[in-house]
Order: sequence, then structure tokens, then C-alpha cells
Amino acid sequence: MVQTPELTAEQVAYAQQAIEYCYDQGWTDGLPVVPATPDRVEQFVEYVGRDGSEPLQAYLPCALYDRVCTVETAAINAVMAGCLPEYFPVVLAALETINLPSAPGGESREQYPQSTSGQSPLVIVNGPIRKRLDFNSGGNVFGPGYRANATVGRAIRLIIMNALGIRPETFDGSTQGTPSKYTFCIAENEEESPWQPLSVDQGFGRNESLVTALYTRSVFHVQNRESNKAEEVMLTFADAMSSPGTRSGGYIVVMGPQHAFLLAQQGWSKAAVRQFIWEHWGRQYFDLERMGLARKSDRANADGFVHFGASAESLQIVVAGANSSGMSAVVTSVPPPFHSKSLAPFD
Amino acid sequence: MADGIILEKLGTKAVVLLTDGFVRNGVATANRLGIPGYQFITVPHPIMNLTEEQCASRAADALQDVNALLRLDDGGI
Repeated sequence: MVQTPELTAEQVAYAQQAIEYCYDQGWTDGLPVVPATPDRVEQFVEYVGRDGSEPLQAYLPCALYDRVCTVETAAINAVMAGCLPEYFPVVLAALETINLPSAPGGESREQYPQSTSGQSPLVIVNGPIRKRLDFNSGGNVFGPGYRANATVGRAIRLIIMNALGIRPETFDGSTQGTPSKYTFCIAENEEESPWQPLSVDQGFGRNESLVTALYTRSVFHVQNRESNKAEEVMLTFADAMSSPGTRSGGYIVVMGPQHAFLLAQQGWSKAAVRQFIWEHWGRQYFDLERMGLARKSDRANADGFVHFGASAESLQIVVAGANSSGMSAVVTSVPPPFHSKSLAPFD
Repeated sequence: MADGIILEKLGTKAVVLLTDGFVRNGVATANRLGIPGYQFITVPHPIMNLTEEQCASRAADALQDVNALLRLDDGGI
């Protein structure tokens, strides 16, 4: 633990002035930011061993507006978000993952930070780096209290606002947005999961540190403390995902350990759980029509059930939270594929 | 807005229509693309849930403004 020196009242007053200066410049998300100094930014850039002037990737709408995010610009915002230099590889990996197209030459995802739907980036961390940097994967995993989770997610937001210029009511067209736009970063509770971690599902090594990043819309909690039957619990998940007004082609099921162990102890593999939930995720066509939400593409199933996801691959399962109750959550997301990037060089 | 301005920069006269829910976004886009004051037409918001007839009516209401802007000789951008 690094001991920070005690400061005089005069020094604290200087710090407060710097914080106010950042507000005046319009560099904040509404909360105070950590003033970035060249030395601190250089520490971040040196930690990842990259050229500060390197453009991270072409964000098409932003390139159009002559906005490019370099490694250095990202570092400045990571400093302001309150990150430590050791977190910066996670921030860069998330940025370099989140806008990858659905397929080579496929649909661009760069429009999501500007969408009226108000998506927010979700960063999921797997592997040894979770413990080394103290990412929370257990109790209150969506909540406050952990510097790594809070500041990595916040860094992504500040980069979107400051480096890419996507700010509320100008280029961020969110009708309402979501609280997770401030910060949204979780780690998988691999130690309290009966299944292989997300990193293996994504084609990486079990002990390899990994970042998965994608745009999401809402977190819905799924409560079933009453049942001890796997099918009933899984139907509760599918039902939560099947509200027509929140229809989404992708979902991240953030399963609490208690639910995960209940399913696994009754012989359900992760793949089988995904398949079961997918089969029940959707609505009868007449139900969609009743709400005026039937799509032209749904008419092929006008006599029956309309699946909301294209396949079982449309949902991914992450085990996170405390092993303390029959609580889980489902997170509406972009459709698959869900992209990941290895952090093995930093393990 | 971006598409309209890009088309104009490429030499094709364009008219941008925005629903009035997107005026701030449109103005920000024009400013960012270096064309502050770029003229556009607004139509009432929303349009996504209009019937075909309502949409045609909305278009007919805007037609005069579209034609006026098309005829406007502003020397290009």
C-alpha cells in the first residue's frame, strides 16, 4: 500500500482549484475528476508500452467530425476518472473491443453511444487480473465501493464524452440514458461458479486475463428464492428477458452463484442452460400484436412463438455476485458476437 | 445532417429534414462539420409511429419548404 503524504490546507485548496478548473473546461461527467498532470499521464502510457500518439481505432462518426482518440488522450481521461496506471490496459482493451463490428464488414457499433436508446458500455473482466487489481466480482457487484470497477467504467465514459465529443444533448442523443452510463464494470466470480468462466466460452484460456466489452441498455434483477427446480428458475430468467417493450437481440445473464449452483447440481451445463433459456425467451405473436410491437419479420411465426434472440449464442452467461440468495440479473445488450481481448501480456 | 452536409460538400444539393426533437443534435453536427448556420427543415416529432397516410400528409406539409431550400442559391458550402 502506497502511503500518500499528508497535505497542508493550502495544498488541498490548490487541488480544489484544479478540480473546479476541470469543471469550467467541461471535462467532467458531473462528478469531480482527478486533475491530470503530464507526469501522471506519462506513467499510464509507459505502463502499456505504447506510443501516446497512436490512434486507438477509427470511430467512424467521430472520425467524420475530426475526432480521434489516441493512447495519450485515453490516458488523460483514465487519470481523470481516478484509475491507477495498472488499470489502463483494461481501459484500452475495452475501447479496442467495444466497437468491433458484428462480423467482418458487418454492422458498425460506433453509433451506439449516440443512440436515442441510451446504451452504456459494459466491461467484464476475467482471469488473474481481477484479483491482482481488486476488481469486485462478489457482493454488490453492480454497486459502489471498488476503485477498479468504478474508475475503469468511468474512464470509458469520460473518453466517450471528452475524446470523442459525444456529450448529452449534442452528439449523445439518449432519450433518457441509464445510471450505468456513469460507470459499468464487473468481474466474473470464477471462484464461486460451477462452470467454466466466460473467458473459456469466448475461446481464451481459463487462466488468461480477459476483457469483454459491449453496449448494454438495462439491468433487470431476477428473483427466485422460492423454487429449487432448475426448469422453474430458468423460466424465471427467460420471462424477465421476454418483455416486448425491452426486446433486445442480445442478453448478458449475470447469474448469482446460488442460482448457478442450483442449476449445475441438477446436471445443467452452461451450454444447456443457454439453450433452455433461449427456447423460452420471446413471446407469442398475438401478444406482440396486442401491444402493437409485432415486427414484419415476426409474421413468419404469426401462429406461434417469436424468439427474441437468433440462437442460444444470443445470450451469454457470467456468474457474479455473492453466494447469498436466489438473486441474479439480466442485462439487455447488443446482439452477438460479444468481443473480448486478452490481457495476457499484463498477467 | 451529416449525410446532407457531406453530399453538399461533394457538389450535390441536399435538403436536410429533422424532426423537431433532433434540432440540437442537428445544429451540433453542422457546427462540428464546420457549417454553422446550415439551413434545414424541421417537421413535427414523432414520425416513427405515423400511418402511411399521416406520413404522406407530413411530407406534403414540408414540400414547399423543401422546394424553397432546393431553389435557394447559397453558392454551395
